[in-house]
Amino acid sequence: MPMNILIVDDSKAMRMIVRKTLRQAGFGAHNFFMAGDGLEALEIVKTTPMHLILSDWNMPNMNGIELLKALRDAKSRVVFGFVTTEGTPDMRAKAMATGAQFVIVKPFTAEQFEETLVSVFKSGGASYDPGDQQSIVLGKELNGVLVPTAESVATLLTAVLSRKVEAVEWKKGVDLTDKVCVGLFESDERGHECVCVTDLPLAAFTGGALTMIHAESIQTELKTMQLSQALKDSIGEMFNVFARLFNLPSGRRLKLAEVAIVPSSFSPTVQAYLENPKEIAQMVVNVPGYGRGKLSAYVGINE
Amino acid sequence: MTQHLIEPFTEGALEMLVTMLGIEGTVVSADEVPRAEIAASMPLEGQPGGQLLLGFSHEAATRLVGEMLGMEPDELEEDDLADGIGEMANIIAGFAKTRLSEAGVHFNLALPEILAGDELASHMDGKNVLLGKLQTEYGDFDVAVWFA
Repeated sequence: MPMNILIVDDSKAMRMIVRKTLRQAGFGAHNFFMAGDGLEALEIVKTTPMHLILSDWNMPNMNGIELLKALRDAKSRVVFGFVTTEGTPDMRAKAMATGAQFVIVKPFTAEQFEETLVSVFKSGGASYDPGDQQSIVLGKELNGVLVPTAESVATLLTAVLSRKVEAVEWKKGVDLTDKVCVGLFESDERGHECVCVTDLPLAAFTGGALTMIHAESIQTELKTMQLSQALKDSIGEMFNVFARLFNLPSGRRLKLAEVAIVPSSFSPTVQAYLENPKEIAQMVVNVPGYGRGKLSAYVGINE
Repeated sequence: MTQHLIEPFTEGALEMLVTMLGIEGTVVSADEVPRAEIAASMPLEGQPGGQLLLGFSHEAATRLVGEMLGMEPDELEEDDLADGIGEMANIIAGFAKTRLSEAGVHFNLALPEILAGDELASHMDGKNVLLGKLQTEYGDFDVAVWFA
């Protein structure tokens, strides 16, 4: 069923660019509505129910954050994202705290739109719920270990990181030739059982959010590739948390056996999982206020 | 004021070309005040305050904005053109704002303003202006920045 999508921007050029990009991202079959500022948007929303609002931040008359606040004050649960020039952590935090689901920073690509919107609408139509209490979602069982799913990862990270983390299963996993972090997990009973790999940004974003390292510092460290000991320790802590993804509530407890941050090569055990797993779970994970990255889990080895 | 302050703006311009238009650009140094037929100005409000100016020939602006908006050049109206180069200034300044804030230079963006080409020189008159030229397959444009 087509969605109603409202694009709010005082620049006609940018409204056209956003619409063009949505088409390129595979959202061309939906109904588009346009508004030049927050006040115009509110008038349109009064008469036409919207499924998604993409809004600029800086606009005359009523800016984007004022529009979002007005919508949430009126109990609107429409999915709302900012498409804005400025993507500082403070602005992202303010957007999320006011009830935005995502922030896309200009300049952007159609792929970024696709990743973000597929994530938001992964269940066929998300809506904002400030009182949303996520129920526990577990992965699917494989020989006594859980294979993580996007839902189980989002549930765990949302609970641990105290922010609404979103995950969506994705056809392309972590690029193992890129800078990655890898953890090997084992149980006392059976030894090693699974491997979790993230790209370096996701390891840094989740670790940073866990230990409250400022997002700007992490961006600087990633850019310069001068990783502080504090960030490395945070990533190690995060991989300890990832062990919970694989645990059946009443089953064996897996724990982190080894973790490697941007290794030049993988250990033979890890390499075996990467080459010959029984199941692979691959997903894109968005950590609000920090950024997104990829996670892949490799479970079980074919004997 | 040192030359490195223009780099975040020219990098932003390159990034904008790749992501919004799908084309590569080349930065070449420029040492003359650009002659433009149409220009976009973005005030950089802060301490120190300043200004970003983008100068285009009419043809380059038409081709670049047409590509960015997914429109044929002959479909573009003057308003679209003004809006388009204003948005380019917005995107480039936003990119530079993030980069420069990491280096301790902070400013806020205002709404972009469109200038006729002959107004460009008066905006730079008496200022210590940093210049760069972007060469693209759709035509070149000039990037000029000054801080008070």
